[in-house]
Amino acid sequence: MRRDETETALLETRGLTVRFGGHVAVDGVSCRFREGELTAIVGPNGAGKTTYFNLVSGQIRASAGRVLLEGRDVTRLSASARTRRGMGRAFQLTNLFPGLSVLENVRLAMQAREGRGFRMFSRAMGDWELLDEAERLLQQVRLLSLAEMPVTALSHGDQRKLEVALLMALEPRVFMFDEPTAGMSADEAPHVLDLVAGLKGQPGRTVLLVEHKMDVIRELADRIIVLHNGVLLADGPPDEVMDSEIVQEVYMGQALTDV
Amino acid sequence: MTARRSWLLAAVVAAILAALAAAPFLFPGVRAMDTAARICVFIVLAASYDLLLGYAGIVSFAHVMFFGMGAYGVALASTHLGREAPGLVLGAGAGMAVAVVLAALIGLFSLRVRAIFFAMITLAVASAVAVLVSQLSGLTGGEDGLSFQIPRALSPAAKYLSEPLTGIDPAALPGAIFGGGETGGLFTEVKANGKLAAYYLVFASMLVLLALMRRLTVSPFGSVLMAIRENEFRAEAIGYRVVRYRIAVTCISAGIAALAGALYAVWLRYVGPDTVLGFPIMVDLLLMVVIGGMGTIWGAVIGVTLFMLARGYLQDLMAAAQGAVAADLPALAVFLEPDRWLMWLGILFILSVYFFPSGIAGRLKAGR
Ligand SMILES: Nc1ncnc2c1ncn2[C@@H]1O[C@H](COP(=O)(O)OP(=O)(O)OP(=O)(O)O)[C@@H](O)[C@H]1O
Ligand SMILES: [Mg+2]
Repeated sequence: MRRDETETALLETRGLTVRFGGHVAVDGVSCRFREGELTAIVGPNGAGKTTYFNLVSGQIRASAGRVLLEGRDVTRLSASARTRRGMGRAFQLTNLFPGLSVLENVRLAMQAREGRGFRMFSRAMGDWELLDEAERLLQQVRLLSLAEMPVTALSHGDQRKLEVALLMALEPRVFMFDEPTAGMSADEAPHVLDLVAGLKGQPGRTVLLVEHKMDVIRELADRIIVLHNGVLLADGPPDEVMDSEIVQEVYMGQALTDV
Repeated sequence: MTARRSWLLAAVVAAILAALAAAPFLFPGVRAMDTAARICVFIVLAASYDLLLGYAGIVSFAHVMFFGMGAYGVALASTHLGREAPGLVLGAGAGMAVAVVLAALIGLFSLRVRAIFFAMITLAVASAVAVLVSQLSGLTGGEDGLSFQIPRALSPAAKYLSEPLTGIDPAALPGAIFGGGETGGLFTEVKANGKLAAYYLVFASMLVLLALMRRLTVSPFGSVLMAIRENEFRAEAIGYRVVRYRIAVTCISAGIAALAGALYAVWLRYVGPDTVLGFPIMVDLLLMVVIGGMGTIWGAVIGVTLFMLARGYLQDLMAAAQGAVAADLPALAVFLEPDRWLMWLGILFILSVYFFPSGIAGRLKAGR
């Protein structure tokens, strides 16, 4: 059931490579991400998953290779320029605006999306359109009751939820989740994963999800890619990839078992 | 930030602004009005510095240089174009334009790299400009500075009412420490002359600029500045062009600093390196902003007022205190020697930073 290879992928990397000194953390990764698809990215610790994300969203510069967003080369663009073109990223290590309120964090992301940051003579808190939207989103991620709290007063799990909310607020075309539920309590995680699942199959959107829990992947992913030592080892439908010999070997029983 | 505590902060700020509004009538006398005018000017300067330091988290040592540019703009225009108002406005505008352009250049050159680099560049440029100003004595008057005339309407010679206005002489109040000393009853005459007009020009300009800056801080633009201060990396990641915002706020604060300098020049009718350019002023400015509280415009109002009053009247206060204890506690009296006022100011500063790490405004907001 292979789709037409000539169809423009929403996101594509070609031979994407980065070297840190002598160490090649991501090594010639070529991959296409089509709209409507949810791709799980797996691999043992240190495989290069986060580094691959950093290359795609522009946090670090590639040593070689290219990143294409809707067929346009964005390799030389800054992270903020890529975000303005539709790339969105949630970080593995929570990365928020600590001194500001929960609501303000989300509002800032929406304000960036709408390109309203340079308005100097209106009141930020008078922009009801964005404030209403921010409250709706906080309700979705179950943070509305904490809206006025500073981020520093939040539990780790709640900070993880806000991290996801910031990505949702951007309404990007490419969603990149880096272990979104890591550190969340068992009753919070499914709810956040529901939100991720809700993004599946939407036209004009693609979802990349780094995740360790195999049951989650089996349920959500349309496709799995496996990274190991920076190299793309396998790419295919979940069942096929998970049962392949090479993947079993890479993990050597480490994480690739249903949890 | 509870609503009740914000209210307390607002009350303190409102009291200060009201006192400044009525200063010529509440605290008559040349010296009191001069202190009030300086407070107004420095409120603008400190608030504009806080835009940079407190809101955007950018450390600059060139803020007083921009202040000086506005002041020298007025001085040069008044010297060469005559004392009329259009020349004064032109001078202020030119000083402001030079400040904004220079700020943009420094920003473009250094804000792309790292914040510490910006701090170092501003230090270098400010030193260079200070040297240049004292070297180009033909133009700037060198170390002596420039004295000049301002529009007649603002000079003490201008008389507006045939009858003087009435003010209160606090020196006549029982137990008064401040005041000129010449007590002639509770009520005193306030001359409606150009000096009074100049004071209200300074005061009104301060109000307008303060309102403008307040608006800026609660605007979407202001919210992005705070986002950048809190987490530059994430601000960039959600799509803000961080460097542009930083350059923009650098230019805005430089422009407002230049306007403050222009007001100062109008008030003093004199500019000189020690008055509007030197690093001692930069240090004072830092102290005012830190004492008042960074990251809130109202902090500047409180910090400047306290600092200026301490500097203006601490010596008087100490002399009075020394006199009071001289007989009984000669050891303590030594410490209260008025010449040691700077030491006491330092102690007050250390105490205020220790007890109010987020400044007095921060304390008033946060409660307890
Ligand atoms: N900035 C950097 N400088 C040097 N080495 C780096 C840098 N970033 C990542 N690495 C190295 O690259 C490799 C890949 O790291 P990466 O964080 O991408 O792994 P990961 O697959 O996300 O692992 P995990 O599952 O633990 O999150 C690691 O060996 C790491 O030490
Ligand atoms: Mg990782």
